[in-house]
Amino acid sequence: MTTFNKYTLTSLFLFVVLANMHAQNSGFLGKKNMFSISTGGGIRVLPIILPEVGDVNNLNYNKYNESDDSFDEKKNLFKWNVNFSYKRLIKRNLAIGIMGQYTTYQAGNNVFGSSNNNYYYSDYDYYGDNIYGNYTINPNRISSPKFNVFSLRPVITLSPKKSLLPMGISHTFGLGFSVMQMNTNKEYYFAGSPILPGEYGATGPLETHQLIAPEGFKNNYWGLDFFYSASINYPITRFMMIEFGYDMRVGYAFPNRGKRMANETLFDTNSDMERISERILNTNFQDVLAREGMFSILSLRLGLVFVF
Amino acid sequence: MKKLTLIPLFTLGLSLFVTAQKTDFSNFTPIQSRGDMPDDFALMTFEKVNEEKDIVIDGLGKKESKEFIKGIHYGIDEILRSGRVIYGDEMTEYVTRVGEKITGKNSDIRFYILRSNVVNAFSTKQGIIFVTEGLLAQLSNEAQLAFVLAHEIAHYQKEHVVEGYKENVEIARSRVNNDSKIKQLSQYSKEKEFEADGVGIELYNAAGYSKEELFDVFDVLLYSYLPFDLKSIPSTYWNTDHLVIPESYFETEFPDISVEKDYDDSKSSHPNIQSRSEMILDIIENINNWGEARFLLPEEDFYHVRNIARFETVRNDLYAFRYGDAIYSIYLLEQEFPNNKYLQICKAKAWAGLLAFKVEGRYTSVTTSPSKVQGDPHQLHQLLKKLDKKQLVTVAFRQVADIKQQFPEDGEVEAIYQYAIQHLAREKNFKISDYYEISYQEAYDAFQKSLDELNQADSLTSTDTTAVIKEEKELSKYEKIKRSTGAKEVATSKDDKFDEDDFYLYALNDIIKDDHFKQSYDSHKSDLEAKEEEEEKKRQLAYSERKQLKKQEEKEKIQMGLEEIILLEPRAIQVKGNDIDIEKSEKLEIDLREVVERFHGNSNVSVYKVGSLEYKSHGTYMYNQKAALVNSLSHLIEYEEVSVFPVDYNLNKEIINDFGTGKVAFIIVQSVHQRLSPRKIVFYSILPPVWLIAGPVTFMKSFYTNFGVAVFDLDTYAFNVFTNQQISGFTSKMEMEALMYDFLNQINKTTDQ
Repeated sequence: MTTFNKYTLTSLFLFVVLANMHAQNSGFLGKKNMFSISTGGGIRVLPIILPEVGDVNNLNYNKYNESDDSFDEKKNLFKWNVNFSYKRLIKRNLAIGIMGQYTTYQAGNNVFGSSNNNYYYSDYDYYGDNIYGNYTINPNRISSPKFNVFSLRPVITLSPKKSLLPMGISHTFGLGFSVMQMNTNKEYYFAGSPILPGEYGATGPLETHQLIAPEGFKNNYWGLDFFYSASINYPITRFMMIEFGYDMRVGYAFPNRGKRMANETLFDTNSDMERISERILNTNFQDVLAREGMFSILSLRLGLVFVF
Repeated sequence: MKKLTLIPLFTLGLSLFVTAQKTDFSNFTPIQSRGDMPDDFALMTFEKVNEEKDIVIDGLGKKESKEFIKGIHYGIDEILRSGRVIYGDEMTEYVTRVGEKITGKNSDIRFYILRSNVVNAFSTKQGIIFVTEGLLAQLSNEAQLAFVLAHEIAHYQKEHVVEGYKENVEIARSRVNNDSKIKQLSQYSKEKEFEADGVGIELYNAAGYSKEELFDVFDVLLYSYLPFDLKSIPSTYWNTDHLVIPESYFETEFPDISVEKDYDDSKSSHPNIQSRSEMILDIIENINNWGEARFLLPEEDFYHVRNIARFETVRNDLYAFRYGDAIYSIYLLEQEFPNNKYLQICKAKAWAGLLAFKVEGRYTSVTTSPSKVQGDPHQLHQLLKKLDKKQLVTVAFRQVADIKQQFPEDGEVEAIYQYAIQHLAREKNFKISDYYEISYQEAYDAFQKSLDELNQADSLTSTDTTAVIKEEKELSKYEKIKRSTGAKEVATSKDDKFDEDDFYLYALNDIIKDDHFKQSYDSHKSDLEAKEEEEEKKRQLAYSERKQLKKQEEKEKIQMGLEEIILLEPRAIQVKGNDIDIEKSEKLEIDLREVVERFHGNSNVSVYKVGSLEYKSHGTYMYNQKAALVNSLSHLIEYEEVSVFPVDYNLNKEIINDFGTGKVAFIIVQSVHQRLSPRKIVFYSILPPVWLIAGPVTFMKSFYTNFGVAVFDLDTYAFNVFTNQQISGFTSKMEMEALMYDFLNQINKTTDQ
C-alpha cells in the first residue's frame, strides 16, 4: 500500500472537498453524507468461462491439514469482498466520493503448472556440501495460495431523474487502482515423493515441504480497474439504510514479469524452495491472477449505509 | 395553524346559528355539511372493518364474510370521502324526516345527500341511504320521495346487499359462460327490485301516503335524463339593448320526448318501468286502506328543499362542465327567482366557460350534441352549436358583461369578467376594431331608413342626377366612411339586405367604449404578447440553451419559496400486478398520514393538514374544507390544458383567508409490485447466465414507489407543479418521510438558493 503516493491521496482529498463545496440542500431528510460498509461475493465466473483456462476444475483448490499432514481438495466457487465508501451528494441525483474495496480469494488449480512435471531439487548444507545428492520430486499435492486485492477509487453515483439519492436505485461508476498481493502471512505446503537417484523409478516416501513464495510473487501487482455497481438503498431509520445490489469490476493489470524471476544463485534452502515453487506455479501465473484479481463479473452486495 | 385553533369554536357557533335558519335564496351559497359529524365519516375504514371483524354472515364462510365486510366498507367509504356527500344540511334533514315517517324515529338508518345530477338513491349494508340532489330536484311531492326511500329501506331491511353478494359468489362459482352469469345475476337482481318495490309499497302505505303518486315516481325515473322542468326559452330572452340574436338562429322544431317503457332489461340490474308499474298495480289492488297524503310534512318544506337541490344541480353542472345544461337550469330557476345573484353569477361562469373552451379549441368536449337533446332544451343546445366561433365568443362575453353591469361591485363577478377578457385576448380572430359602436337595432333602423331613401330616390326620375348628387352631399362624414368601408347599416343599393349574421358585431357597442374593458383587454393582450415574444425568443435559442432554460423553468416551478402550504388528505394505492390491494392501500395510507403527522413543526414549511384525521379535532368545518378542496382539485384536473374558473370562488377565498395561503398540495403514493412476466421467465430459463445479471436488476426494479405531488393555487386556480419521484424498493414510512421532507424542502427553496 505504500505505493499509494501522496499525490493520489491529495487528489482524492480535493475531490471530497470539492464535493462538499458544491453540496446543495437535498438528500435524505437533509443529510448529504453517506458512509457505507458492505460485504459481497459472487461466483468466480472467469475461471469457468475463459477459453484458455476454462475448466470447472480451476475452481478446485488444495488445503493443507497440518494435523495429519494431508491435503484436501475443495471447490471454491465464490470470491468475497468488503467495501467501504464515503460519498457526498452534490445534486439530487448525483453524489461523488471515494470507495475502498478488499477482495480475497483462494487461487484455483489453474495457477499451477502440470503436476506431472518432475522438478529438479538439490539440497546443500550451509558449507555448500551436497548432503543428500540431487534428486527430483514430483509435487503431486500443493496447497493453493490466497490472494488479496485492495482497490481505491473515486466514484460517482447517479440515480434516475425521478429518483432521490441516496434512496432507491442508483448506479455507481468508479475508475481507480487495485493492488494484488499473495497472502504471505499464511503457510503453504506442497507434498511429493522424491525420485531416488541411481535406481530407475524408485521414489522415496511422501515428503511435505513448505512452499515459499518467490520474491517475485511477494511483490504487489498493480492494476487499473473500472468499477460499476447497481444498488438499492432502502431506508430503515432516519440515519441508516440497507444497501443491496451487484458490482462488476473490469481491470487491467500492469505488466510485472521482470519482478517474477527468482534469483538462481541463491543457495539457502528457502531460496531453493522458492525456485521449486516458481517452477511449480504456472508460467501464466500472473495472467491468471490478473483475471481473477481484476475482474469480477458478478458480485452481489449487502451492507449498511449511514447517512449524516 | 394558529388560526385553526380558533376555528372550531367559531364554526360551532356558526353551525348552531345556521341550522336554525332556512336557506335564503337571495343570498344563496353552496350547500355545505353542518352540525356534528356522523361516525360514518369520522371513522377510518380499517376501524369500521375491525369493529366487525368477528362477524360471520349467515350463508357465508368466515373468509367470505371478511371479504364482504371489507368490500362494503371500502366501497362506501370511497363515496363518503369523495367530498360529494352532505350531512346535516336542510336537504338531509328533510329527507331524514320523510324517512322517519316510514321507519319511525328510532331507526338506525342514516340518510345523506350525494352531490350528483344523476337521478338516483341507493342503500348500503351499513344502513346508509344516499339520495342524489338530482333526484330531489326532479320530484314533484313528498310522497314520491317517500316511496323512493321506502324502496331503499326495503332493500336494507331485506339485506339485499348481502343476498346479492351470496348470489354473486354462487354464480361466479358455477360453470357457465359469462353471458349466462350476467343474465343470472341480472335476473336475481330484478327479483330483489320487485321485492323491494313490494315491501316498499307496504311501508309507504303504512306511513299514510297516497297511492296515486306511486306511478308518477316511475315517470320521474323514466324521464330523469331531462332537466327538472321543461320550458321553451323564447328568442326574446336573449335580446337586450345590445344583443339581438336573429330569429333564424333558433330552431322551432325539435325532437319530441320519446322513451320506451318496455325496454329490454335482460342484462339490467333493474326491471324495466313497464314491468315495475304492472307489478305494483297488483300490490296496490291488494291493499285496501290507502291514505290520501301527498304531503305529511309541511308542503312548503318540500318545495324549499327541492329549490335548494335545483340550485345545487346548477353548481353540479358547472363542476361537470355541462355549461349548456347549467344555462338551461338557470333559465328555469330564473322564472321563480328573477335576478337572483347566485344564479346570475353561475350564468356568468357558464358563459365564461363556453367562451374559454371555444377559444382553446375544446368546445365540443363541454357541449352536448343537439341531436341527443329532446324537448325544449334542444333549442339552447342547437343555438350553442350554430353560433360560429366569433359569434359564440361575442355572445358569451356579452352575457358575462351584462352580469358585470348588473353587479359592478362584486369581486367574484369582476374575476369572471377578467377571466372572460383574458380569453378574449387569447382569441386571435377577436379584434375590437371589427366591432361597431352602434347597436344592432340602431344599425337595422338606419339600414331600413337608407333603403327607404334609396327607394324614394329611385321613384324620382332616373335622369334627376341632381337629387342623387344632393343626397351624396347631405351624407355626413361618418356616414360616408361607413358606406365606403361596407358598414351594413347603410344600404348601398335597393336590393341590399341587412346581414343578420353580423349581429354579433353590434353586441359590444357599449363595451368597446368602456375604459375598464379597454384597459383590462390591453393589459391581458400585452401580457400575452410578452409571453409570445418570450416563447419566440426561446425558439430561437440553440438546443442546449433551450434545454438549460427548460431545466431552469422546471426548477422555478417547484422552488416557490413557500413557507406554508395546505396539505390535502393524501392518498395511497398498493398495486400488485394489475390489481389494487385495497387493504394494503389503506394501511399504506395510514402510514402516509403518520408520516405527514411527523412533519408538524419539523420543517421550514408550515403544513396545514386537511383530512379525515383532522375531523376529530375540527369536525364538520374540516370536512367542508376538505370537500371544497377535493372538488376544486377534481375540477382543475379534468381539463388541465384549459384554464378554468373556480365554481366555488368565494369558498376558495374563505379557505385562503382561514389558512393564510391558497397553495394546496395533494400527495398520492403508489406502491407497485410488478409480477415477472412469463416472457421474461422463459427468456431467463433458456439463458441462465442472463438471469444471473438480469435477475437481481429485474427483482430490484419490480418493487417501486411513485410519490406524486400536485400543487395547485386556489388564488390563481391553476396547478403550479406536478412532481413525481420514483424510488425502487418496497415502500416504507421512512422512504415516504424522506420524500415528504424533500418535497417541502423543494417548495421552501427559492431559485436563487
